[in-house]
Amino acid sequence: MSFRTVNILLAVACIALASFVLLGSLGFEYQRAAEFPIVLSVFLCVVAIILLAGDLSRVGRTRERSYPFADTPWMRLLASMVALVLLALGAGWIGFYESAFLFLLAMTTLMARGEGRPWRTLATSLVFSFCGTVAVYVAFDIILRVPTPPGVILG
Amino acid sequence: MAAPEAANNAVVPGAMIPLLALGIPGSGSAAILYGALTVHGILAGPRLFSDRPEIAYTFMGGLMFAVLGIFIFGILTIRWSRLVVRAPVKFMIPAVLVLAMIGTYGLRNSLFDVGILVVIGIAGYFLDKMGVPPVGIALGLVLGQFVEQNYQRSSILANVEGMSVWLYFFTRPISILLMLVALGVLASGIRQIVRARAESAQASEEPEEAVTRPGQDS
Repeated sequence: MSFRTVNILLAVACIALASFVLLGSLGFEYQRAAEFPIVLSVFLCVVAIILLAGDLSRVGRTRERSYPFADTPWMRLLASMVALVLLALGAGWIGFYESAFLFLLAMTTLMARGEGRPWRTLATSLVFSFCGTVAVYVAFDIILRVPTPPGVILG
Repeated sequence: MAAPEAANNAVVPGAMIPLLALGIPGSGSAAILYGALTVHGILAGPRLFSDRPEIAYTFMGGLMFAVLGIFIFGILTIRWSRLVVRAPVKFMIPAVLVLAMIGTYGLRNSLFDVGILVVIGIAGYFLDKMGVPPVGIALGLVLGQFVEQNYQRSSILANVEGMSVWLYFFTRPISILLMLVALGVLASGIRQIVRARAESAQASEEPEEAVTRPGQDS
């Protein structure tokens, strides 16, 4: 996806957001309260139009050859995001430190993928995750006494 | 390691000057500081020096001590702290994410805040890739409520005077001056962007080998 396409999508998203705000504020009981959202949505539309005009112009066409997501490792990124979401959800279910251990293990294994010798990578990840979780537990739970969601093992 | 740290520390006082003197955050971190002050009912700006001098001078004194402290700490620990640079990214990124998460949860003991962190973090990654600077977003989040409050106040005052709120912004010399300065800054910013794009367009017409090609997933 080129920079130009990304900018056009961003402009369309701005216009959609502005329309949503505008339609929502039209239903306000007190019109004075609706003034600011209307002004804001108009400004947002103006910004989107400037963005569109800039990217649809002759000068903007050169940005067709620039790719902001060219070197993005999509599969690894997606897996990291899923791991992050699972950490946030897991903190409530099995406890913060338990899910932090699993998150560290998953992320380090994922990021070390392709380095060769998978068993050694897994062992390193396991040691790092365990030591990291213990360090965080000692620092935040025992020393600083930061409250965290209670866990099935620690808590 | 010493050079980027020195540059990083040199930026802070520069960003604090407009924050303390005018109430305008000069950087993303200054904007967050502005938000923290506002949460505690302290309004940064020229009146801070007369209304709450202890806060203003604590900032100034604190910055001086911090710079001195970092200098001493840096001299004493540079031999070992440089090893941080060698730490593998595969360990740094997950560790930082876990620390960010525990810090966010610790603020209000809320898993909802952690969810917000995840969503904003993912959105921030894509915005960073698209070249959207985070400072503008931080400023919008911090200053947005004041813009709305002051707009509503101006609207009520304009209504009392029997004029449009937009005309009301141009009734005093100081407001006219500030509006002109704001328009000038906006026009200058747009001019810079247009010029940069035109230069980049001109440059890209010549060397075809400089073109970035989409890569494959690794």
